Amino acid sequence: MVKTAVRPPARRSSKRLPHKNASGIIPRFVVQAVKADAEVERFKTSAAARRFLSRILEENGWAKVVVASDAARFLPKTRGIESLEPADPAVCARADAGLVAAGFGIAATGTLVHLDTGDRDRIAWTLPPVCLCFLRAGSIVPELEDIVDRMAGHLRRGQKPGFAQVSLVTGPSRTADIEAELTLGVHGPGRLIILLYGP
Amino acid sequence: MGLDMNRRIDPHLKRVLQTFSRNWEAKRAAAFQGLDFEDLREHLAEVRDEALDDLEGLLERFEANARRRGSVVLRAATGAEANALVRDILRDHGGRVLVKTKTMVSEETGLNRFLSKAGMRPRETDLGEWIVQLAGAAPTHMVMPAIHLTREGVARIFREALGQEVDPAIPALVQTARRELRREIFEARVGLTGANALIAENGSVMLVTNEGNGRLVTTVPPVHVVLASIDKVVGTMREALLLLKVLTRNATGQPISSYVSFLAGPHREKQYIILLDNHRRDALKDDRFREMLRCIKCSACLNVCPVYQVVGGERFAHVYMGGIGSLLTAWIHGLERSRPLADLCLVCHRCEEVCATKIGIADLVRSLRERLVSKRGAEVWKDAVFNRLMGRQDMFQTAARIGRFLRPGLARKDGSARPLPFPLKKYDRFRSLPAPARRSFTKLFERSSGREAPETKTKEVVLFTGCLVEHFYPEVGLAAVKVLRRMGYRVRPAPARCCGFPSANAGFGSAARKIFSELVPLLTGDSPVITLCPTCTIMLGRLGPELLGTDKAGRFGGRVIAFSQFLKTQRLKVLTRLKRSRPLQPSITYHDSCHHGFVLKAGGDSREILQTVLGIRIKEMDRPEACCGFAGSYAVSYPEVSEALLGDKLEAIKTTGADVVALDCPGCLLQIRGGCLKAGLKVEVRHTAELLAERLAG
Repeated sequence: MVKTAVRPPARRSSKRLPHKNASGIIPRFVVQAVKADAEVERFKTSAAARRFLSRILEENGWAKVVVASDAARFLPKTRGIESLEPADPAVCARADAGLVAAGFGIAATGTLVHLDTGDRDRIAWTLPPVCLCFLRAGSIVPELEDIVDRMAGHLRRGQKPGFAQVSLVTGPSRTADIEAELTLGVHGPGRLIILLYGP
Repeated sequence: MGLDMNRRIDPHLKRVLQTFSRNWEAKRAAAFQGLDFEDLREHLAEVRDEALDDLEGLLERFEANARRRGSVVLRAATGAEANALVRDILRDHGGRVLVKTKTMVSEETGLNRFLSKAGMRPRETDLGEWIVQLAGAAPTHMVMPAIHLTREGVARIFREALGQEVDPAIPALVQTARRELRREIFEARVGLTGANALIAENGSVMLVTNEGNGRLVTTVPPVHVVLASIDKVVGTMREALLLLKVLTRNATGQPISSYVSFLAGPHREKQYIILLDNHRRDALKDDRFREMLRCIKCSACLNVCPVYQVVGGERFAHVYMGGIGSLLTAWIHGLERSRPLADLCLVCHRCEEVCATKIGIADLVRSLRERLVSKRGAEVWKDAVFNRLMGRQDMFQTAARIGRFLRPGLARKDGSARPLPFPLKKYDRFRSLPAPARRSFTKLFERSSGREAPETKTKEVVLFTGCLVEHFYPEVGLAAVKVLRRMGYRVRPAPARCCGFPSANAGFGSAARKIFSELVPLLTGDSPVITLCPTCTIMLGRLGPELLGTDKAGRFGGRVIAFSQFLKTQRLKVLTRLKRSRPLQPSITYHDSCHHGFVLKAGGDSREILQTVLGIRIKEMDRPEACCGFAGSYAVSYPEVSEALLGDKLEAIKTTGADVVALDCPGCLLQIRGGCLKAGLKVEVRHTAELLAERLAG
């Protein structure tokens, strides 16, 4: 099937992906995520990832960035970046990119897992055309079943009025509804860039 | 009744659906690599059954947990009630626009139509559903509703419905959809989704999408409405993950979809969860049909359905599509509405191979037909043939004798029947029908026995030839006798009677029971009962005994075995006696009959027998297991579907360049030989028994 992205992709990082983890779940995660059309960039430290982020924002002219609450610490202190809070959907829809962080990665399917208590962070994940996601390599587990108790616990938390959500995100938004031809970026982002950092 | 008789097949739609199915098959196989599908679906079937067993308890727990989080849980007994609830919610929140993700339940209740009449604007956000909504058309496929449209067609729809000129290129079309739908989503105050699962242990809702519209619809508008049927409830997170594991792989061949969300509680202003019954509790009380409630709406069954791929979802659906659709429709929308679907089903059993929860769809469709006949009556001609005529076996045999008597006027030189007169032309437009044989198999066997040496063999087999061999293809029966005798068996033909399957399949349960119960005493003994037709095999071996439900019939059923499968048990010395040194000249391809391949699972046996004994390699055709379109009276009820399937089969045979098509079913023999004759295709069609017998000297 021919794949067509809604926006043309920018120049990718030329770093090779190191295979440090002996068990191989990190390479497995990377392979699966790429299969699902995500882009994965690998870094030794979060600082290196943040430097890359600075560069990629500048190179693409992504000046307006919606920042999820748990990703604020990853925002580079660069001039020219307007960081938006994920509040007004209409405003955030006009942003260039969303900056988010995932709680876990699932190696078997290249999936990002985020556990929310508020619903606003989803705006950062979903509305802008590009999603930049920080993921600590140490938080990757082999299978979804490995964190089922964490997921269930999060949803059960408090047993009082409130909102809880577990989201599993694998690759960018996609459809093959027209002529069974795959297109990325229909409702959600057309690009999902995973910044995988740490040992 | 014969409403669809003159419907035409859309070749473009057929091509699109068949291509989609092939791609899906490959993706699905890759997605299940390293996993045991049989094991997974066995487990999932258990999980679904347990949930159905404890439905009320689970629903109560779900409700309690959802309420604790602040969700409003509402119960709707009927579709109309559910629709009214949604309308009231829209009114309460001062909204006119409702944005929706794809949910079959809302189609089941006719929500869109209802809301539009009430002056509201329901808007689909799933791309395919939205396109189809703009076009005012019905969806063609459960997962890919607009798959039948070309990009130019979509551009045209956008031009007419949106007043926008869009470049008929897919990226531009998708970009337009993204823009338009976001506008709607931002305007809406209420978003409605279905649920792929309702998780009782925490009151959360699982949503599975690829496009991300589920996320938008549950993030942007401040109010979220969940419309879900009660059978969606599962106990735990673990069970939901098991369902997820099978669902995405089976539905689209993806290890996981792009977005899976577990939502608990109101994300902003309010969350309403409407639990819809709509006759599901009634279905649950029915011991026979409750199995269908295991369905997780993956639509894998559609992707293997030969009929669906020919006619599409507009025809093979009321709301729910396919064989499973007929079952759900019978309960949700009423027995009468399920009839066209139940009739369109081939009962070929393919769907059962891929069903995520092991629902015995084919047998259930047959049971549904029985219910339809007993509660609503049957078509006059079907009643005449399958009930009144076949129910009286003596009358049936007399009719056959009359047919033989009239043969000189009916037959052409090549053994085929003269073309049918107008207005019956459509029934043999695409295949020549056979004329009755000059003499029945029974008669020919009696005559030949006189010339045989006195029987010294001690081992006996009973040969049940079935109606088609008895009256039309006695040479197949004689060939089987020759082979069996050469293997050292004494052959006793069963009395020439129908097995009862045509009556059972058409829904005439009492006629089938009568025919079968009359047959059982005639087949007493210990000898194996060898059959030449896989349909007879199923009827004698399983279906008949099930209909009668007696122990004796069950024991008798254990003796029944198909010809090729019997030969497979006779290895070593007995088989090599059949081997000849003369090499076989013609190239042979093999056609897997639906019953022989999917129910008896004997395709491998037949190939092995042919290859071993004849010393050849089968030249495989493309999709040898594709249905030829015979399916008994199906070819009479739906000649256009039968013709389309036969056309594909003949094409596949032609492409192999083989001289001979081997098969194990007289019904397929009739269809394929008749098709070859009509198409001028110079290919011999032979039953396995004939090919083996031809190799024996004398």
